[in-house]
Amino acid sequence: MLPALLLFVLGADGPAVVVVSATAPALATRAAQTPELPVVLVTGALPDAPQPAATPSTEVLVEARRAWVGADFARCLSLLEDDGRVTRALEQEQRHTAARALAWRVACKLGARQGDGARRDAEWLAALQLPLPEDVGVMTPEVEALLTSARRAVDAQPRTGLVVTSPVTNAVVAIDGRPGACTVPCRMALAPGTHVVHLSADGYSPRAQTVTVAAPELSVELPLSPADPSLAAAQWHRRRAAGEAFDAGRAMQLLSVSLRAARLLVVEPSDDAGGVRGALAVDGVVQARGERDDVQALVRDLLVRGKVFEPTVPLWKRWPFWVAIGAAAVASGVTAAVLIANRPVVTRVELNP
Amino acid sequence: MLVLALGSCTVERQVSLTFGSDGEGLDGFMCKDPAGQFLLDRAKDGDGGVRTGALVVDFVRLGGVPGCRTGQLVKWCSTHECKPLRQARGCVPVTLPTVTPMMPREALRASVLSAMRQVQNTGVLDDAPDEFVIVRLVGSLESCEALTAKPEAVELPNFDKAQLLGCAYSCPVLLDRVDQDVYLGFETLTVQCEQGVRICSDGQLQWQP
Repeated sequence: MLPALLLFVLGADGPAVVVVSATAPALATRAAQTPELPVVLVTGALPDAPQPAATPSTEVLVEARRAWVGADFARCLSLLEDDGRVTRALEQEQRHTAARALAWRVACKLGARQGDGARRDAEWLAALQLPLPEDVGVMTPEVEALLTSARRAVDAQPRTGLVVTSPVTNAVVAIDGRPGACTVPCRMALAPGTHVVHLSADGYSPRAQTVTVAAPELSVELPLSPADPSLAAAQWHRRRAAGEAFDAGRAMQLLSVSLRAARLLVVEPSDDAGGVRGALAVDGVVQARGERDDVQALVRDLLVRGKVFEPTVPLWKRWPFWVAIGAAAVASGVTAAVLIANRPVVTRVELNP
Repeated sequence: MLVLALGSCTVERQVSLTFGSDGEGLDGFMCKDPAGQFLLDRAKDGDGGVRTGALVVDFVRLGGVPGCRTGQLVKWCSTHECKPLRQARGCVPVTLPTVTPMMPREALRASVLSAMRQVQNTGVLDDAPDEFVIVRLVGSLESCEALTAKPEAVELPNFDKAQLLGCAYSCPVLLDRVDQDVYLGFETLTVQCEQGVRICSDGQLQWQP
């Protein structure tokens, strides 16, 4: 876990703001001691890194294989009959697991003399463009022949269009467990059949939907809901691990969500020796970035530029001051003019015949 | 500070009273009484000498700005209070010339002007009033002491009409603003002008019988 120390900034009014120093806790501590601010500074901790997602269990597949070997096809099918097992694997980009589940379903159905069902599953596997698993090598030649013929039949069919849109711009579309197929709005050509569309974007909860594609074209719009703090923390950690700058807009937004902070201030040592970089986000949007030699000066600068508080304007920079000066000057001028015009006159009168 | 300094300073000016370069305004000092005697002859004493008189300078408040002609002034003062300012009277002792028989008028004028110049550059008032006034100069055989206001007196002493020697006056003028010398003169078409001198020297500038 990264050494982390958070700096919460409590405004005199308005919500709190979180400022993070992921690599230099002492820097955040010193930032928290910035004097003469009309806000209260409190430190905190970064969110924990998320646990790796659990991979789908393959125990069912082992059990199904064991049932097929024992010619207990009914049990095999009862273990694999749920289509959700395949779609969940595809949502998690476990194409190999999905392929194994479908291949064993084909094998079990053939064993149970369910030729049509076996054919449908073989065509679905082909429509998903899943690779044939190694398990096929232990199945009967009849199974391999069916899978191969189904693949040929599907490949011979014309492709059908699928258009995926979303209110979230730049959301990433994954099709049938293939990541990064495109970004919305996305148009692709697929084999007719059932497919799994997965949409994801940082700051939002991912969403998957099973669609059945048929001629001439299918359009689906998938809205996304905002990510909860734990998901936002996971997305932030993933971006950080990928080397994204701490003050990048999306990273600041994710950290704001993960910390439930309407205002977030991040300070980190800069590449220059002795320098400090920082950024301020309000409501997840970066309002100011800066770099200074002193962290307290940086904090003050960011809070002012981010309009968390207004700096004290010197008297001579305020317009009423100059209005008053102007008025005083005019009044002085008028007074002087009046006094000059009305200076007392002493006239001496003398005889000068 | 500058404003205070500007406000505290005063403008000092000086105004001269003149009868014109050749004494054109001295007609009021060349008047005769109804008996044909020059008023200036009143200064003769019994020993053939000449008594010292006084030139009295008054600043007469008019209560307005009337015209300059004698008739206009007299008419104005018949309905307004035309009164010399008590605190502004100036007086200078002077000895005016007597008149010799058959003396040409221009010679008399020059003689009077010469006598007047005895008091050249004599100050008569340190601070002129800040209002429109006419400046009046009256010649009298009375002394300055007699004609100067006593501290306890409310009014200025009136002139003894029997001891008047002459008179001249200016147009209405605001002395704090005037840019030239102030000309004193006397309008008359005849040398029998004692009546005019009486009106001129009157405390109210009223017609004097």
